[in-house]
Formats: sequence, C-alpha cells, structure tokens
Amino acid sequence: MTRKIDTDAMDLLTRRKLLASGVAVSGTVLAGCLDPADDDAEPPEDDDDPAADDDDDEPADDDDEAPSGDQLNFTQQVAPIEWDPVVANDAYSGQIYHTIYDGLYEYQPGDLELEPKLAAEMPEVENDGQRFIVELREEPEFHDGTPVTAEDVIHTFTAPVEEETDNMPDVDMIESAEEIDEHTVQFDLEFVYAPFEAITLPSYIVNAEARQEDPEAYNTENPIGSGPYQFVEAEIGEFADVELWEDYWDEPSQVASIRYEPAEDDAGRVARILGQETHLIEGIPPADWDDLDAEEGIEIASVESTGYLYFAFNCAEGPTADPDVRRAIAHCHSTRDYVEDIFGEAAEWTNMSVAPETADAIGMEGIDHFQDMAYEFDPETAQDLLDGSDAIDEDTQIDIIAPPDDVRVNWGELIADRLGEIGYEAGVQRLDWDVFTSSYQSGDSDEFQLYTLGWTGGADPDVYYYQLFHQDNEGLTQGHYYENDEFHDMIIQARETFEDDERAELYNEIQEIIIEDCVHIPGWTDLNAAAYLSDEVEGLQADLQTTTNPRMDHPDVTLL
Amino acid sequence: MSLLRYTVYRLLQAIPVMFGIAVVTFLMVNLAPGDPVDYMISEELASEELIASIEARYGLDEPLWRQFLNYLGFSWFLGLLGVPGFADAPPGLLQGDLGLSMYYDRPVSELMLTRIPPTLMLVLSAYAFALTLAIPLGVVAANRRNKPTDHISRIIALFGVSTPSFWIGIMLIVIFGVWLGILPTGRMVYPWRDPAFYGYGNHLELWYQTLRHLFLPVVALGTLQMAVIMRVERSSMIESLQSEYVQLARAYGVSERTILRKHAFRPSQLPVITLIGLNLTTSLGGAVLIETVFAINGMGRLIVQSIQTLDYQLILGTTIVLGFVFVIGVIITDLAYAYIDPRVTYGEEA
Amino acid sequence: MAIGEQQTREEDGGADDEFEANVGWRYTLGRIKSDTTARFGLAVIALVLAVTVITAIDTHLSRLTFGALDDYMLAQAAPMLDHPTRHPDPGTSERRMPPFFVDGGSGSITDNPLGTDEAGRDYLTRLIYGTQISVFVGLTATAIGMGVGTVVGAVSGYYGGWVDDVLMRFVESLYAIPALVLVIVFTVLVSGNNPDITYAAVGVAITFIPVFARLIRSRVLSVREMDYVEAARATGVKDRDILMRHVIPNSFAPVLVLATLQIGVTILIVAGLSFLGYGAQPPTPDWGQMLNVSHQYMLSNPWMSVWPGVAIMITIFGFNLFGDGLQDALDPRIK
Repeated sequence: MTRKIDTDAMDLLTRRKLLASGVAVSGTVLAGCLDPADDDAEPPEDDDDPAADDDDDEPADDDDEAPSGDQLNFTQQVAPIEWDPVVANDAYSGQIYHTIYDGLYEYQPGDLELEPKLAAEMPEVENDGQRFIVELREEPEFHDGTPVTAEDVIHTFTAPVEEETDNMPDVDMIESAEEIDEHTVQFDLEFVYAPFEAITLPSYIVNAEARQEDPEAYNTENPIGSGPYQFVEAEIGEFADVELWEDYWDEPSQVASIRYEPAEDDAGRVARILGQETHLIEGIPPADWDDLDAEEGIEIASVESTGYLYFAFNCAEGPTADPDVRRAIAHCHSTRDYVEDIFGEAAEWTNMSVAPETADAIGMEGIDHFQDMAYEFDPETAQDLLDGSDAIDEDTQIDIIAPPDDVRVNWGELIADRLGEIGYEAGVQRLDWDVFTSSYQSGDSDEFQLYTLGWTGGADPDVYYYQLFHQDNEGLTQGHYYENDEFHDMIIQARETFEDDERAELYNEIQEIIIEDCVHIPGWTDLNAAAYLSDEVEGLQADLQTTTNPRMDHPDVTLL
Repeated sequence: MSLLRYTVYRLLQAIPVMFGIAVVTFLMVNLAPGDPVDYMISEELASEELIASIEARYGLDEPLWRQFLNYLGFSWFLGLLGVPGFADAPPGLLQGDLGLSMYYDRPVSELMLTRIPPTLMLVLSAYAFALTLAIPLGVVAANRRNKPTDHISRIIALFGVSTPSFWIGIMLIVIFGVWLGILPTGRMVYPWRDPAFYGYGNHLELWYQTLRHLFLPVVALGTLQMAVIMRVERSSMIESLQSEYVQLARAYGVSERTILRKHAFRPSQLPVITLIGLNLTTSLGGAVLIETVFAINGMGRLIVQSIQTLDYQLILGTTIVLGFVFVIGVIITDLAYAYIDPRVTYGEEA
Repeated sequence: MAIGEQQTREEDGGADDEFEANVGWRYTLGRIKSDTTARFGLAVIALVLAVTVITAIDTHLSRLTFGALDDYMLAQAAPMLDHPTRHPDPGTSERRMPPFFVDGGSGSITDNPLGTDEAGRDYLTRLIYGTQISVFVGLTATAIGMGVGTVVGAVSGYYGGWVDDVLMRFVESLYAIPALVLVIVFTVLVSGNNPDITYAAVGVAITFIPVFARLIRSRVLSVREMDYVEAARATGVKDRDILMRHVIPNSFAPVLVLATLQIGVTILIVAGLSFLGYGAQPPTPDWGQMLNVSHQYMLSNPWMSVWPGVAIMITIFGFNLFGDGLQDALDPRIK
C-alpha cells in the first residue's frame, strides 16, 4: 500500500538525479555532486567472502588467455550506478550499458543521423504521425541465446510506465504497443508527439523474460542485452567490467574487455592519462585541454555536445520580474568574452537555448543568426535600464545562486562585479546540489534572482524547449516561472506537429521570444571529448551525447 | 587485577563514552534547523501523503526521544521484552542496524562495510610510516641534545606539525605524479583482491603495486603523526636520560650505548603509545582530506559525500562509527601500555 | 576516566611538577625575551597580525579612505591594491598565470608577482587578504573554546561526583569524533547547509572544549590538594573564591601555552574545512578555499597550489614556534 507512494518518492528523487546528471553532462566540473558512488555497492559478502574470488576468476581466466593488455581501461568523470536501461537514466551508467545493449535505432557516431539497429528499417509512419510500425531483424540474439522478439521491444517501451521509472516521460505518450507478428511491433500514440522517432524509438532493448524474472538483479548484477559486450561485474565507485560477446550478431567489436573506472576529480583524471594509467578519459577540463592536446602520445577526439549551459532569471517575483532588469543584467557583462576566455577550444559560446546540432537537425536557424541577437556588453544601457525600472533600486540585493562548479560560480561573480560597478548590489551563493535544486525550483524571490544550470537534451528541440520553458515543468526542470500564454501554446504546438519545417518555424519564434524577453542568458555548448593514448587506441570517435561518448560499441575501436 | 580483567574493565568503561558519542551526534544532527525530508523532495510537488510516507519509511514521524531509542536499538529490546508500544520497534545501533541511507536508499551499514577496510589500511600504514621514522629520529635528537642534529630534526618536526596534510598530498602528487611521473596519484590497489583483477601475475606484484599506490597518501597522512611522535619521543627520552636511575647507571660506569638501549628507551615509549591512541582521532580526520585528495573510497569520502547530499542517516552513522573506531583504538593502546609498563596497576578504582 | 586513562593520570601527575616551577609573569616574559625561537615565533605572529589589521581596514574603508591613495598606487603598484575579490575586465588580465620567475609567467616582480588565479585576479593580493580569515577564526575559535572549556573543566573538577562524571563523559565523546568531521557536520547542519566562516569558528571552538576542559580540570584537582589552598580553606575562604583566586590564575600559564598551540590547530582545521568547500565561501579569499579551487588546476598551473599552503605553513609555524618557546620558558627542566 505504501509501496506505490514509495515509488513516487523514488521517482521524484531520481528525477533530481536525472536533472543533476543532465547538468553534469553539459557542465564541466562536477566534483562528486550527485556522485552516486557506491549507490549500488555490492552486498558486502561479495567483497569479503573469499568465495567471491571464484567469481573473479571467470573474467580472470579470459585474461590469462589474452593478457591484461587486451583490456581497455576507460576513466569516467562520474561513477555509474545501474545497468538496466528501463530504470537507469544517468549518462555515466549509459556509457557502460550502451555497449551491453543494442538500440532499436541508433545514431551514427558524431552526428544526429538515425539508423536502424535491431530494427530492419526506418519505421513506417501512419495516421499523421500517431502510429509507428517497426519491423525487427530476425538474427539478433541476447547474451543468453534467446532471440530478440517483439515481446522484448514491447516490454522495453511499456515497463517504464508500469513501474513508474524515471524514464516514464520518454514513453508515456504511447497509448498501446502491440505485437503484429513475432518481429513486428505497432505503436499507437495518444497524440502526435513529434520527437517520438528521434527520442523514444532509439531506446535500448532489454530481455523481457530475464528482466521480469528478477528485475533487481537485472539492474545491478546481471543485465542481459544483445549488444557487443557482456556485463561481467562491478563495484560502484570502484570499477565496472564488460567483456566481448563472442556470438554477437552484428559486426563484432575488437577490444576484448573494457574496465570502467571513475575519477571524479578533474586533475586526478587528467593525471591518470598523463601517467598512462588509463587508455582513455572522458570529460576533459578546459584548463588542461591545451596541455593534453600538446602531449605526445595523447590525442583528443571531440565533437560538439548536445549540452547547454545558461543563466535563468526569476521571471515571476522580485526585481527580475521586470524584463528591463533582465535585459540590463544581460547588457552589463559579456558572456561571450567570458566563455572565450575560460574555455578556448573546449566550448563554444551560444545564444540559443538548444544545442546547435539539435537545432540544425530539424532545420532551425543557425547559431550565427541568434548570436547576432545577443545583448552586447554595454554598461551604459544597462545602467539606464536599471535606473529607469521601478522594480529595482540601489538597495535591492540581487541574489545569484550557483551549484558547486567554479566555472559557473565565476560566471555569476562576474555578473555581480559588473552590477556592482554600475551601482547595484549583487552576490553569488554557491550551494550544494540538493539545496541548489530546491532553491531554484521554489521560484521564490527571497531565494534567488538568477540561477545557473545546464541541460542535455538530445536529438530533438522539444527536449530543450518543453523541459526548460514550458509551464508544465515549473518547479521541476525550470524555476524561472516565465509567463506568456502564447509562448507556452507554441511550445505545445511544436511538440504536436509532425512536419519538421513547421516545427522549425515555431522554434525559431520561440527562441526569439526567449532572447527578446531575456528568460535565459545562454552561455555555452561544450565539446564532448575523450583523450586517449594514441599509441594504444585507434578508431575512437567522440559522440554528441555523453551516454555514448566515446562510442565504445563501435567496431572500429581497436586496442593496439 | 589480571590483564584480562583489566581488558573487560576498560571495555565497560568505554560504554558511557560510546553512548555519549551517539547522543552528541544524534542531537547535533537532529536539532539542527532544516528537515531531512525537505532536502529529499521538492515541496512544490510533494503531497502530504508522500511526505508522511517518507517520514514513516525513515522513522521520522515519531517524537525525538522515541527516534533516539529506536536508533540506539533500545526500542527493539523493549519490544522483545513486550513493553507496550514497542511491539514493532525496528532494530538499531545495538543490533548493528544504522538505518537506511536516504540518498542511496540502502542500509547505512552495508554502505560502510566496503569503506572501512581502505581507511584502516591507510591510517595503519600512516602510523607504521610515522613510527619507523619518528622513533629513531627522536632518540637521536635526544641523545645529541642541543647539537645541530637535534636542531635540524626539531625544525623538521615543527614544520611537520605546521603543514596541512592535504597540502602535502597535493604537493606530492605534483612532484612525484605529475612532474617526475614515477608514482600513481590516485585510487588504491587493494591487497585483498585477486591479483588477476588488476592484471598482475602474482601476489608479489599485487603487494608491490599496493605499496606504490599507498606510498604518497601514507606520506601525506603520516607526516603530521611522525612530527608529533618525534617531539614526544625526544622529550620523553631526555627525561629518561636525566632520571635518577640512569644517572645511577652512569655513575656505575655503564656505557652510554647500553644506557640508551637498556635503561632509557623502554620507559620512554610509554608516552608515545598513549599519544598514538589519542591522536587516532586526528588521523581519522586527516584521512577525510587525504581520501579526497587521492580519490580513495574510504570512510572519509563517504562522510564527505553524505554531507554533500545531506543524507542524515548516513552522516549520523558514519560519524558515530568513526567515534567508535577511536574509542576502540584508545582501548587497544591502553592495553598495550599496560602490557609494556609493569608499573601500571590496572586502574586504581578497582 | 574512560579514555586515555594513563594519559590522564600522567597529566594529573605530570601537571604538578611540570608547571610548578612557574615563577610568575615577569620571569616568564624574561625567559621569552631571551629565547630565540620564541622571539622568532613572536615576530611571525606580529607580522601576520599586522597584515590582518591592515587588510581589514583596507577592505572596510577602501573606497572612502584609500580612494586618493588608490589612484596613486594604481599607477605604481597596481596589483597590490587590486580588490581581492573583483573580477578583472574582459581582456585585461590573463587567467591562471604562473609567477614571474617561471617561463610564461608575469615576467616582472611588480606585476602579479605570484601570478593570477582562475578569474585573472592577482594571486599575491588574494593571499595577503586570505590572512584575515585564518587569523580571525584562529583567535575567536580558540578564545571561545578556551572560555567554555575552562568553565567546563573548572566546574567538573570543583564539584566532582556525578557532575564530573557526566561532564567528562560528554567531553570525551566530543573528543572521540574527529575534529574536522565534527566541524563539517556542525557547520553544514547548523547553518542549514549555508556554511560560512562564523559557523566554522563556533564549530572549531566546540571541538576545543575537551582539551581545555581536561587541562583545567587536572589543574583544579591538583591545586586543590596544595598546602596553601588547604590553608586558605582552613581559614574559612570559600571554595569558589579559592577557585577564582588561586586555581584558575595559577593555571593560566599552561592554558596560554595550549591556546597558542591551538591557534595553529584551528588554522589547520579551517584550511581543511575550506578545502572541502565548507569554510569561507568564494569570492572571499581564504587559503583553504584557494587550495580547493587550485586543486583542479594542479596540472596546468601547480603554482596556484603552492602559495596558499606555504602561507598556512608559515603562519602556523609562527604560532607553534612561539608556543614551544613559551612552554620551554615555563618549564625550567627542559632548556
């Protein structure tokens, strides 16, 4: 009876984890904010019991045949937690399970081009975009030898709703998923949901039978997918091991096994690759970018990410409810200079509230177009705007809140300094993640006037505009409480329109309103990168999404 | 009183202190402003029902005194004895149950179990390092009192006491890890794992790698202890060398070397032993920082993480357990003291 | 006593003769004057205090008092008068610049001699301003801890019996929890997860109660037995007066030594606390906090990690040196 409520509680809790991980992805320094280390610490007996060594021997035997030189060591910036894609939703667990599972569809490394993987071809769309029919390949098999069938696909897409997992929002528009034959599935949606193909269909397919038998174990000890790698074992905060699956149905990968180890400390992570203690690290601190790049024997693979960082205003209460005050704050400093100064090559200044790649994918205006609309550094205009506003006087203190990440804190301090110079008080508070989250969600002007956060959306602009701006998400994924009925209607309209051209138009307009009314001050989109030992690793490709950066499931990756 | 009875007596004496640790920590965590549930969920969305269910899950819906009894595990005993109102009381500290971590949603004791061995390994190795260096240095300094050797070692010790351990750690990483590139800078190799896990051929290599990985953190953590122990060793040796029985031995023409080895050394170790016990709390505190600097998954890091996530039960559990580790450590050193010093009467109260 | 029984006995026993020879203030001062180490320590302390006072005055009155001076100095020694927290204008200052004597550094000793920080601010300026926090917390926390600890110890030793038992068990429990952990938990929870340096100071003070309480208690117990106290008691002087007039004043010397050494300990704890992010909050310059930030830039500019540590070390060294000298001066046995 209380069980259900508990799952609700979990939902909210982990939703915050999701948020935080989204932030982490696009941020630079995370320093253990959501550090789920030991979240899934194995039952202690596994560690202390000498019998556990027997389990260890299994992978070890393989190591004997192929000496440990065959194992690729992968250093992550945050410790992963769990291995069941129905439940898991943090990017760092994804870096591991994307090798264990195959998607129904998958993106090509480095761009947003969708291709069938377990599906035989692109889906058939009927009913003006409310029905999708997907045909599956016949040959794929799971690691336990059972074939991948329509039943598994249906379970993958319905379980998040049945079990109310964190991934529910991705699939809850599905009215029904039906088996037409053993290798064909038909999805009917409750309404036209434009991002269905780009966001929902590329899900990783789980083994329905094995998962239902023991969902807990499936998530923590024994995930079974149909991907190129098999899960071996893991201890949260310490390591996670996967090894090559011999009978993979598709073109096999070439690295015999991969060990993932977290190193949350930036300098520590870079030191690991410099000391050749690991083959590759993901998450390269901007400060070390140039040095790593210049280092002989180390190369950086990079691609623009789908992450995005911003400052958002409290649009509902306090001085920043006045758009002129918001514009003044945007005018009083130069985000562009700050970004160029801090990141150099590691990130790109943006004035859009969506990743440029994502905007591009549906044909929105490009990054230059919106950069031209940015508020120029102009202290005089800023001062005039502030002096002319009734919402603020010189005694008003502007509170800026930031999570514990120096890059964002410094950005806030910069704004505060510049405001101070034109005679207005502002201060930055650096808050721990949990406090920060409840603060910005409150929308309370006693708590903040500005907050800074990041977001990783993915392949469709809806994931940015709906989540970060629509009123449905007030107090959840957004704390600016911006009101504008027409604007909110447009977001829904774009969400429920099937044609890309129409959607692009709508999103251009939405983006212009955001800039015009200064709801966000967009900051930057950073690069997803991985630094690797070029003498030992070959064929590595960075990817837009942190979950698949770099693409370890790709057959080109080789350990020399 | 025999050593055994003394041991039991010391253990009994520790009970009120352990109880005190639990009380102090419990009060500090629970009387602080702010509500654990606030930090868990966003209030905008939380229904009364949801809050109530979370409170019930973590036992926060009961009055504070009752929560305390529950936490200690008294309620469980009362329930066992059939005291009305305690029928369904959950197990607590006395039963080895420290509650559920709110953030990780799993038992606190389970979370701690994998974290204690790395911390113990670190702290004990740091002491081994400190003693190996400090005792000879202390003896030499005392023996060459007010000579250059003495002054130099005193100044080194003084610097050791004055330097933050985590900064030493950072400097060691910069020098040995980054600049010279000869030692690993983070993580740990655990000797209790299978060598094949790390790709090592045999246990010898595993131990060698363990030492390599342990070296920098141990130096960083051990330097302060080394300095403190050396200072005490020196003054204690000086005191012994000035004592009447040493003067007497000298008068009888016993050689300085024999005096040093036979008459002065042994009694001088007693204050050192006491100091080790009392300084255990400093070392455990230092381990928090060293584990952070070197990315070691021990108790210290767990505490920092629990504070970052405001995981009340985990903060409570880890703090209390660290306190207990200290109390047990002090008992062990007291016993060692009693074992070494024949003059100890095993406590006058008895 | 449950914890460190032997230790306490030793303190009890040791305290008698260790400080018995204390022959009053004038003698002590005389000894300090002639002790090189103590003098050197005193000089370091004086320097640190002077820096604290000057920077405190400057921050609070800068725009008013030093405005004119500012203009002059800006031309002459710009970096020294940079406001310690202000972010430089875009393009005017390079971030994370190494010190002048390093290739690629600032190049000249008059311009950012120790380089710049992650926001392009002058590192030396921030280092100098960072003195404030250490000294402020070092002094206040020790003073509060000493005050409360003295009261607890005196009450405990004076009343004895169950009061003594309860207070001492409480004190031992406090002592058992590592100071740093106690301070973090206290600072974070009591501040409602909005830590700042004031909470940190109170937290450190709490962790000092045990050391001071135990010292005073042992003094009380031993002094109580002394002839002149018995004589005083015999002539009808009240116990409380004896405590106030004889016991506490007579314990002052060892307490002073302990306090001097504890200032060093405070600075260490606060540095650790700030390093973990729970002490002084940015942009306030603080050594521990600077180490927290610079830790991330350990590889690209290790110098940022060097200076704050050196500053902490020198400051604590000064207090320890003085404390040592003081102790020697008060204890004629060890010369």
